[in-house]
Amino acid sequence: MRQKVRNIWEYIKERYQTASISSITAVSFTIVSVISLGFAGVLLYGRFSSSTEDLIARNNIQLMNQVSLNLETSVRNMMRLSNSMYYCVIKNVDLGGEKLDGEMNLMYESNRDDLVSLACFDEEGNLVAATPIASLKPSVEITAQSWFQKANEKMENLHFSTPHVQSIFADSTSRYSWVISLSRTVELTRGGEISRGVLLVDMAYSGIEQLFDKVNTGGAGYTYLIDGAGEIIYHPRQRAIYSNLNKENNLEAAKYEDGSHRENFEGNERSVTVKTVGYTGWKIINVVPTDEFYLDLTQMRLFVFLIVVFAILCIAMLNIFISGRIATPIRRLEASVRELEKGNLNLEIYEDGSQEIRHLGRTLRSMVEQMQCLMEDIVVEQEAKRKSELDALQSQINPHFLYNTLDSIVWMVESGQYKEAISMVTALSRLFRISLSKGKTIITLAEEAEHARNYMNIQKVRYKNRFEFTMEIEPGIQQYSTIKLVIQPILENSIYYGMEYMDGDGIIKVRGYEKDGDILVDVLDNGPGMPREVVDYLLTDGKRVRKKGSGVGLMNVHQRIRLYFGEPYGLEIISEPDEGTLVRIHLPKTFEREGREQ
Amino acid sequence: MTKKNWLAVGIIGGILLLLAVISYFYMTQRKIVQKRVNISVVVYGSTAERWVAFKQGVDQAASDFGGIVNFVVLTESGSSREQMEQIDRELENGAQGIAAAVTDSSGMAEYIGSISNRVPVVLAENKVEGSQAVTCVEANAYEMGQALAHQAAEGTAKEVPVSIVLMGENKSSLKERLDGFRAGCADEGRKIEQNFYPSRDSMSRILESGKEHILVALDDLSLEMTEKVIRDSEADIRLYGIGSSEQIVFALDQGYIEGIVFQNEYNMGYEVTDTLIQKIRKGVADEAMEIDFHQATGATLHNPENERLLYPIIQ
Repeated sequence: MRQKVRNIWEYIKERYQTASISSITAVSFTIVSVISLGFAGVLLYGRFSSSTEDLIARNNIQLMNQVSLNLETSVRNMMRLSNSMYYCVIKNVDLGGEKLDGEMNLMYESNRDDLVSLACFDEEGNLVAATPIASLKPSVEITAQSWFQKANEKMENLHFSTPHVQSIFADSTSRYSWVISLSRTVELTRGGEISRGVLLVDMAYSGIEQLFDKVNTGGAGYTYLIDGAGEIIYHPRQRAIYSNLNKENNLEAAKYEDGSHRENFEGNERSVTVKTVGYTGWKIINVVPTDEFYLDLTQMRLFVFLIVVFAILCIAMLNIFISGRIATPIRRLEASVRELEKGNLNLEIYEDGSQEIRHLGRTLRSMVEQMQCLMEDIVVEQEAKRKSELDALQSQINPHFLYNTLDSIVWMVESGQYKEAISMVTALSRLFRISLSKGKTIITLAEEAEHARNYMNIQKVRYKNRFEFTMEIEPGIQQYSTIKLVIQPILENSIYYGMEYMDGDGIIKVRGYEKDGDILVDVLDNGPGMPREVVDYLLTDGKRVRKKGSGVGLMNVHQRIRLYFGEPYGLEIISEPDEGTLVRIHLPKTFEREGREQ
Repeated sequence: MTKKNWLAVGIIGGILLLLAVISYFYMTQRKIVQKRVNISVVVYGSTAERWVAFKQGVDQAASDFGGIVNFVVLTESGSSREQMEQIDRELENGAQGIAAAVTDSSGMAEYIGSISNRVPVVLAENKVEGSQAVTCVEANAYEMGQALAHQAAEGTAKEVPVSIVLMGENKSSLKERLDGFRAGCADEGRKIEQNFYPSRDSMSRILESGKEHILVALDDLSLEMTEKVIRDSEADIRLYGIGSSEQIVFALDQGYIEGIVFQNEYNMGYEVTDTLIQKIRKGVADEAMEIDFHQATGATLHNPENERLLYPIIQ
């Protein structure tokens, strides 16, 4: 696995390093953008979710403070009523001769919106006074009532009950009331003697219900009220809870301190805010399911995500555009360089784009121009060098040949062969006319053939017709060009090396013809021939020194042809000992008479 | 830029456009609110407060699950014909489902079978004969009858005669309660003396006899009527029954009724509505739960558990 990851990393790295400038720029900028925007998005979301949570918590606390204030006001009113009843009425009445009913009725009437009943009992549970119903059900046992017992348990306190149906009074109607009973012990005076009693104030439960209904106006969150032990006093779904259709975490909530808490109840994550109501120990509980709470956050998360993705895509698009703008001039310049690499020096080099690229383009163009100049110089130099070499090679002929010919003429004159001497001088004269050719290097094949023929006429006189010479040049090729003095040196070699020991049976043949679009001139003799190893170095060993003849060897001819016409052309030698020798001159079929010269 | 770059820019532009469209729809569209369904609840006529707790359950479930309820209580003397006509009217008025507490289990069987083919139907308290496929939310009526028999037998001597007050035996629940009561009496070794109609004339003999007698009523209406008959009587009659209307609870509190067995009407209303809405929305519903039932006497009436069930807090 690790190796696989490593391989992938290496692959990515390699692709990145070898990618185009445009890709590297776009990818790098985009990665940086993704990282920075992602970071910003996470921070933004974190900050927002924290603020939202705080805001909701603050709102809940504010709401609960308001409910708590209203509830405390209501409770305080009841307590004030209880205090008034006790300190202003009960304490001032001697039950031995007076009654509480009048004052109690008055008190009830002035608070009847919030009150269900007022009653006072002695310590045995006998009714002292009650309003609005002044009699008890016969079967009811007051001392068994929980509010009565609690009042007697802690006499100094006021006690609030959980909601219950007040059922102690002998009401002739089927009407019933849910109440919260506020009970306390009181001192009753009867005939001057003080005894203990219990004062009962029944608050209408509907008042509390209305108070909470105002804050439970819908939505998934709700607020409910419990007593110190966790018993539900009010719940928006109280009936459903009583019927076991819903459940509430009220017993656990009773243990919570005031403030915000998180709880998991029946698999649901909930945010719970607790506020204790003064005097009673009751707790107002606000519940917000975190699903509901986080619904907005989920939307916000998606929103932030969309914004970040949107921004990243915009930046990526911009990156591609910018990197394209940066890389396009470089790419065009690179294309110019590639064309240069192919050898195309005449192209127009790209010189647009940014300042740096323009500068590079200009520099490259200047470099190419310099290169072109240098190359032209080199060509001229090479051409000059070639010509000078050619001239040097051709100039090797003249002194040797002149020396040999004059030597033959001297020999003829000395031996009195004046006629032959005249003929030879004439031939020599023609030979030189062609040799000179007004300084031209290139002559026609017909001129070269005539030159060779003149030369052989001279040689035949010198060698006293020890050999026969024939020449056949196809008429169709005679007008084509050749460099001068290519056949004569070969004939010279044939004479010196092939005919020297012949007694009139030597044959030298020259045949010119066209083959495969080129011109071939074969010089054939029936001399002693040469072994293969001698043939092999005749055209390659430039250091070989001729011992006989004009000094212009096969190597000279071969090099001249190649220098002028190029690599495929030149001489080919085919020879076998005792079989004779064939030297084949390979020339192009060309009319270059004047062009090259110029 | 190269063709490749233009292609990339084009693709990104397309994605941006798509994102913009998605964002627009997502941000502007509020949460999809499940469409509310119209349902009608048609219950047989009884006493004024017979259906108070039941209706509370119906309303709560309608609020919880998105229903608009038309709650119809037939007249006290409602017949099966009246109930069928009422259901037809509800359907004509666009009710998508019907919940009914039928007044006649046998007489309405065919009718309920036919409308259940058109719209979802859920029955409360009473089944119809031969239509097992129609869901019925009910308490175990047979066990309720048995429990009533045991309750009546508990505080009285074995020789005290037992009579039943009967009215409207066409309801399946009544028949089952009766069967259960008879079985319970048999368990207790009590003999059922006779059946009465809940009227002074019908019960004149035991009212005038002055002897101790146990009277049992098996539904709200007959229990209330019987209680009214015996309230001012000097006869030593111990009245037990099944029901939990406000009048019955008051009579129990006042000692006119000795004991009651009562079903959780709130739960029944809630379950009926929940089941019906599920059927309308999904075509099927979870198996309807059996409703719990409880007992109360004058001594246990004001236990917190009984108070919570018998004295509805109007929410």
